[in-house]
Amino acid sequence: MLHSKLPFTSFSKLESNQQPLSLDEPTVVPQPAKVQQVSIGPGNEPHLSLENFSKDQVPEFKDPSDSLVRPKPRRITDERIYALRPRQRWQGTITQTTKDGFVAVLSDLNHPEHAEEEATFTLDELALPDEELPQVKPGSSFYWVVGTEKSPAGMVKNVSIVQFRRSPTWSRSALSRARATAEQFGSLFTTTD
Amino acid sequence: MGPGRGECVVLHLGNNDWCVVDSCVDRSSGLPASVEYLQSLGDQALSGVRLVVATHWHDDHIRGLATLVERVPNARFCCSSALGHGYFMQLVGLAEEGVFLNSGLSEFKRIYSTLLNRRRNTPQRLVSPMLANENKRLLYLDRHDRPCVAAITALSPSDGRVKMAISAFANAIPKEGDPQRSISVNQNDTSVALWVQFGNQHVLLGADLEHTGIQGEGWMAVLESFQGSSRAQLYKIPHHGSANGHHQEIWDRLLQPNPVAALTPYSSGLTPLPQPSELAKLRQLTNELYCTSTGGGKVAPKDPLVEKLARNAGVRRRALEGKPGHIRVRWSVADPTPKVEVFNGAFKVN
Repeated sequence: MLHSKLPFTSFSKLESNQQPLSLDEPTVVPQPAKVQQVSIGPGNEPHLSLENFSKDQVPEFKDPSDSLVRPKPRRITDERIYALRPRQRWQGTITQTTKDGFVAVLSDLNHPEHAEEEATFTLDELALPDEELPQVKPGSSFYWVVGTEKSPAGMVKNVSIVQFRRSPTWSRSALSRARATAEQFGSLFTTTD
Repeated sequence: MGPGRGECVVLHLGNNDWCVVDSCVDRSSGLPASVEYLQSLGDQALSGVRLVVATHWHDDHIRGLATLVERVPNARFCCSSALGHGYFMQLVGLAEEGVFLNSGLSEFKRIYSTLLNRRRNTPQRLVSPMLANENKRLLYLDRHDRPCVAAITALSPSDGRVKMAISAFANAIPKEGDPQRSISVNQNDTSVALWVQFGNQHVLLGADLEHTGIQGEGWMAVLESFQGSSRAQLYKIPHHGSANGHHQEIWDRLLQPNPVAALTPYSSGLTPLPQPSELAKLRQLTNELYCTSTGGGKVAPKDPLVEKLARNAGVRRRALEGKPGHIRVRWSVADPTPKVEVFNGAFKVN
């Protein structure tokens, strides 16, 4: 299962049962807003009030750093996105790089109860796009999917796809929550039992 | 105990008094190996755990530790004093706020949450974590109904290393807009090595403490400040038998000749531990050398087409963990000769 809140740097394949998505700038999802009475329009008659406010009409935002940023759905015209049949997915984290590839720890997403695996990948076999090569460094995470793919002409071929995940960034609210949690935990050490 | 990556030591101090050091998980059951073992001994064993020690916060050393802490309400929790500082708490607070952080931080978050809840629900109970520093006594049992005195003393970390660790934690705290990545802080330097006394017998548990060659750090600090005259009959070899976990003076000053020595391998990475050269060196130092596991082994079988596709993609895979191998060492007050048994793939190194 893919973690939907994580954006991707490249997006060449989708599961065949997913709807095509549209590719636009990421958008900020509005939080529930506290709307003040607003006076606009001729004669300053209020057009918006708490009584008639609909956030569908006028989205308002809190501090943007509190909002959850999700990429808008993307539309990809490549018909291959309809034809991928994944058989196995792993989530991997690079632990070491080598002169011709990298070593990663893999978690089996189909069977989380299975022991983690260590895998050695060679860049020649992966044929990563150039823009993804900087992602090949310790700590980078990726998905590895193996399966079959059916071409528009109906021919089935085997595929192995490595797709890197772009690291989200720390938001002010997440850091603030972490500090609050730290203060709570700190009380374990400062108060006497 | 060790499954190929990770380790756990379970100590019975007599009279159903137990101590657990670190944690690893048996993947087949999903339970910490220590919980499985203690449950197999009967209902009373888990309630007899007096002390749980996290020697450091490496993922592989504390996997499942939070589950253990939840199940041992009578035990004090102990960790390195560096991990009681506010900067480390902030890193713990980040666990599960972010997506790519170390699972070790998540374990600590659960542990501290459990202790906070325990304090709220039973305010009369002593739940504050104990903070280990060099030469700090963590446990002392001398009740009249016991067969003998039992004591556990921390040998590390040194004050100097704690200060450096706190500084490293401060530098690791991310700022707004920083990418979420694994926290990269050397954790072995603040490992808690332990000296265990059981009557006239002694055990040295080396955790992942390393020999850096710098005075006031690692094993040099331990040897400089060691106050006892006794020597240990049982030695948990530090840092998976690595070269930088080895210091000859440990064998010369802290261990009896030919002690029972146990190590857990670390089967991940391009240089798994122990390396053959280090294993040969250890074999020269004792005839009683044991290892919990040969490493991870075969991957769990998958769909034949999946295996074929993975092979065709040129990817070489291996499992990092198997069932935890188990080395059991027993001796009694009456008979101080240690008796060693091995289970689940643990073996004596010849």
